[in-house]
Amino acid sequence: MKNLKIKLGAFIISMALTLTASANSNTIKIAHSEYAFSYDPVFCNWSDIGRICAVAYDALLKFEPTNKVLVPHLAKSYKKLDGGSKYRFILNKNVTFHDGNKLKAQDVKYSFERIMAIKDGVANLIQDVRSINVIDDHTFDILLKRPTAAFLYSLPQIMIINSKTAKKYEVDGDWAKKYLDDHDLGSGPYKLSLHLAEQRAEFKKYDNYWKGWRTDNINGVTFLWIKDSATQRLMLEKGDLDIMMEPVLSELKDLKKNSNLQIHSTSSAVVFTIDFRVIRKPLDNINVRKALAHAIDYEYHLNVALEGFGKRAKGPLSSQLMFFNDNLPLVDFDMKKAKQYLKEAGYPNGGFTLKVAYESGQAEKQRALEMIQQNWGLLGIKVEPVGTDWMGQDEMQKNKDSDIDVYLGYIWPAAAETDIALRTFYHSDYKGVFGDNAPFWSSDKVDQLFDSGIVEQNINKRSEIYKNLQHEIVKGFSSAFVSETPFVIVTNKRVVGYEYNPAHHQAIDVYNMTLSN
Amino acid sequence: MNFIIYILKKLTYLTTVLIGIIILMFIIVQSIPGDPARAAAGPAASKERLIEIRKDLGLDLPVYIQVYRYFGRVINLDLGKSIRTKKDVWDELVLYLPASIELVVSAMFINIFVGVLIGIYSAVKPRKIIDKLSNLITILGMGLPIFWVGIISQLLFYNILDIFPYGGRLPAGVNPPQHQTGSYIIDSLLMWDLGLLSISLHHLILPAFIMSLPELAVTARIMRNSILNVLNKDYIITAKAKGLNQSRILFVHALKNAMMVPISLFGMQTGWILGGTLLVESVFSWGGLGSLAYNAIYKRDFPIIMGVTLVISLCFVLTNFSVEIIHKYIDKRLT
Amino acid sequence: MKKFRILPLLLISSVFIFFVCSLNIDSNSVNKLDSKNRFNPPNSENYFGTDAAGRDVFYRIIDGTKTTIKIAFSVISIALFFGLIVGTISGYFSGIIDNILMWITDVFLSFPSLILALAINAAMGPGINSAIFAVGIAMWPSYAKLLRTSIKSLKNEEYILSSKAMGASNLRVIFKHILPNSISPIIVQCSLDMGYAILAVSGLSFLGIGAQPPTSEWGFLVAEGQATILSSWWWSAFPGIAICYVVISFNLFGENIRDILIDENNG
Repeated sequence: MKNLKIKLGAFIISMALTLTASANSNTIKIAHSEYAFSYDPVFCNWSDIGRICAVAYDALLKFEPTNKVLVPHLAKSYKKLDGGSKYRFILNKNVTFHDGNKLKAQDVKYSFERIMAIKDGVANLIQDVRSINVIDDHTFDILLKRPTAAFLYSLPQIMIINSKTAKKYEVDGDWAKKYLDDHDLGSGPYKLSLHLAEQRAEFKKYDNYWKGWRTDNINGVTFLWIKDSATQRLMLEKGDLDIMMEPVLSELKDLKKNSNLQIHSTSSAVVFTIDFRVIRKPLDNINVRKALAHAIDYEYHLNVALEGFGKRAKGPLSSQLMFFNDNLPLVDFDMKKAKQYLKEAGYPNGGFTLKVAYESGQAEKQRALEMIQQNWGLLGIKVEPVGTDWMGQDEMQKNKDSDIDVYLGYIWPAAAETDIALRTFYHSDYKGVFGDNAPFWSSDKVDQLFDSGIVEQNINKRSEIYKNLQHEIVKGFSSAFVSETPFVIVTNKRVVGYEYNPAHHQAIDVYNMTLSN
Repeated sequence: MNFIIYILKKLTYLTTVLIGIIILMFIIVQSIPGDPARAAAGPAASKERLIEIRKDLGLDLPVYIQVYRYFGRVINLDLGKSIRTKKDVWDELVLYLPASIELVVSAMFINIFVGVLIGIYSAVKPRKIIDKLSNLITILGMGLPIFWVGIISQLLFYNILDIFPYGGRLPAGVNPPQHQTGSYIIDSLLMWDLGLLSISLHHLILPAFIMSLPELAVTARIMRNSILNVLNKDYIITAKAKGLNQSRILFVHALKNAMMVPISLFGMQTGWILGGTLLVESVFSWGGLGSLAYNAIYKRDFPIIMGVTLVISLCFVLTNFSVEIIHKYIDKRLT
Repeated sequence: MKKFRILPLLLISSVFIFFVCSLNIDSNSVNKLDSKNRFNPPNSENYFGTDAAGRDVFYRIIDGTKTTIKIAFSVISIALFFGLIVGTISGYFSGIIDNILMWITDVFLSFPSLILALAINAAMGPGINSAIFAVGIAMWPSYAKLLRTSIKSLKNEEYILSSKAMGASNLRVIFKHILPNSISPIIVQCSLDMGYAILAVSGLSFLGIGAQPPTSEWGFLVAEGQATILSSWWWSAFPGIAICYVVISFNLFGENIRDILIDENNG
């Protein structure tokens, strides 16, 4: 019996020792709620996978957030040829991938062709690419179907992968998709060292990173998947976590009191919209849509759902981006007007039901749903909520036959460029191909404006075209434009050098950050 | 010999039940609204492609042939692909299963060990403070919604008392043992890494205990009643009259017979606890089948949900079967 | 003959009182948004505080009682309906019908009930009614088995054989003699299962496929308040306590009924 007690004591002591050992290392711990199921940079426009790609992969160009300009990255330099329908790039020579292979122009060709073949994720950004011509190991041309002004801005999202290794692990022509489930193929500053499904991914610094290392660099990055944001907050306050990606906005008041934490909040380029699927009855009637838009309490949304952090959106484009049109007609909250429009549409007492898809895990969306449920209810319209997460919602938005009438969605720019920000949401070519055009709305006029805007080289004329475009979109009442969404993260005090990058909406540029003691 | 025949009979019946499970799964899958061909082809597919896929999936065939083909697929472990991630469902299940088994087995262990102990204690000293206390625990245990207990206990044990970790199977920075079985407990034992073992146990205890809570209550109560029943049996009274030692009577004679009732219960209990993984794993960030299903629910990823359902019910059926055999075996030894 | 005990009776009648109160509450006014009174901690006006949209948690819980009672009784009715049909037929007739029905029952029993309910609910689409149906479907087999056993034992009793010999039809025998005599174990089982039905459906609501907003279902309320539990614990904590309270009330009452109806020689 005594023996047992000693053993038990030793066990408990060893337990205590091992528990304290891991604290306070030079590794940054980042928590988010959505499990990133792959390390495939095709999906790096999806926030959870994008965050990871940002530390493990490099792109040809980078968007520099302070001055809002494109800077060379893997590509040392580039030149516009043939009036914008061809670009010539020259690669840096000292770049190696995580397994030591040298970066060559063939890798770029493979990466682009891979994305074009998979037709998912960032594929919509490079629809104008015709082909890649390799000239020598470090020089290549990108040929475009038409000269587009937006093309260069899409490049920060196109990560270059290690084609030699990828080809080795291709199974049944899957472009190494399966291999990328638990491996990375990048040249970025950090390389994957541990993958635990639904739990965490650990990255260690890659010693031969081509940009070299400073003395104060962070040594490793750990991404933790923690569903519950209360748990994330607890860990942050206890020092078990450095960055919490999606705080509940109503918790920030409390978190502000904690002097060990800092709150970074910026207005992002993301616009929160309530989308009406115009191909479904009775939403095909523009007066019904007008009625619904007037019955949204925009003030309530800003004050309650966003806790005062956001601002009212004027149209589909965020005021952060070029060519923003400040003179759009604003839809106000007015139940009388709403009733009037409903009457004109032939539904004086409502009497129909709308199925509304929303992300049920998000407090902002919950509040928005409750508000429209109440206000539209006053018009005699029944709201039937369908809770999902954004992946599920994306699937529904893509589906032409989906029985959902209204979507609480985002206009989420894939890059910090106006055409890219709006095209997939409003050009008829993208209806049902990507999930962006939830309303399934389009008009010939809008298509024409897009097509002339993208090839226009004169900046003033472009500005005119896109301002006009926004006006056309707002007139269509395919969505109610509710708010410009704030982007907020909470970090530990020791995290230094975080900066929001509109080109990589939720990514954290760990390489340029440090941890103080 | 009789025993072997018994097992064979049971096995035959088990097979028919397994067939039934697959048929039921087929019916549930059929009742999912929406066009399966459309789901498989993607929204951008052309009409011709849809017809082609409908043919590939056998949707134009009579129902009994479809059932037959569904059988073939299940037996070949072809459960389809996840709608969103496009990964093979069977691969996903294999990846997540060990974590759940570890949790369920530990919960069962706590259930049996603690439950039986409380049961004995309150039977030996009926209507004393321990008995009353265990009665209270029993009542509470059966009434607690475990998802809520999970949330509250995290607040209590991680935030306030700081004696258990926030969840997860290992803390950040600690690497799991080399993959052999997928259970961190067994793998770290195989590597003889006691530090790792203690860390994984530390993470395991709270979720396992919470999952076992409702069943533990039942076990304790049944054990208590079973012992009291046995203690009133003739042969025990005779033994008492003969002046045999009290604890000898309890542990040698009474316990052996009294255990039969709870043992027959353990099979069913495993089922409840397997169901509990759904509610507890997501609260504790435990990367098992429950978390997998939880994510799939929000994504409307039916192939994954159906896969989890199938695997969990298979685990349940097999456990039940083994428990029955063991029960029969012990019963035979006793009589 | 045992009697009703005072504690279970008190508990269950309090639940009944809450239920009557909830019937007199207008759900719309309980769920009315109030942007001025958000996140109020429990006070003399809002006994259980208010939530993120300014709704009073106490009234939402009271309002949720009707959903909870609806869950308990509908789930049991569905389970009972299928259980009665299958159990009676398979108990009364033997041979091939009995075998097939028992095989179906065993197939259903070989799913953990929450898992089966999840699959059915997911397939039917989210909603409180599909959650109720799913749990009911997952629970019927135990009733079928129970009824079958008790009918099998009754079938050869003297009075049943004689009424059959007198030319009574099968249906008449079943309804006139067999069902009334095997009813008490069923009642006991029902009252014991009510608590489990509530737990299962609130679990599904917690997972997001049961009750949908703005229903004040308790499992759903727990899920709603989970993210903000550190700053406003009352939103999630009180609905959880409410679940415990009602389930324990049903459990104790059920056990009491069992003690009364079934003569147990209990140590």
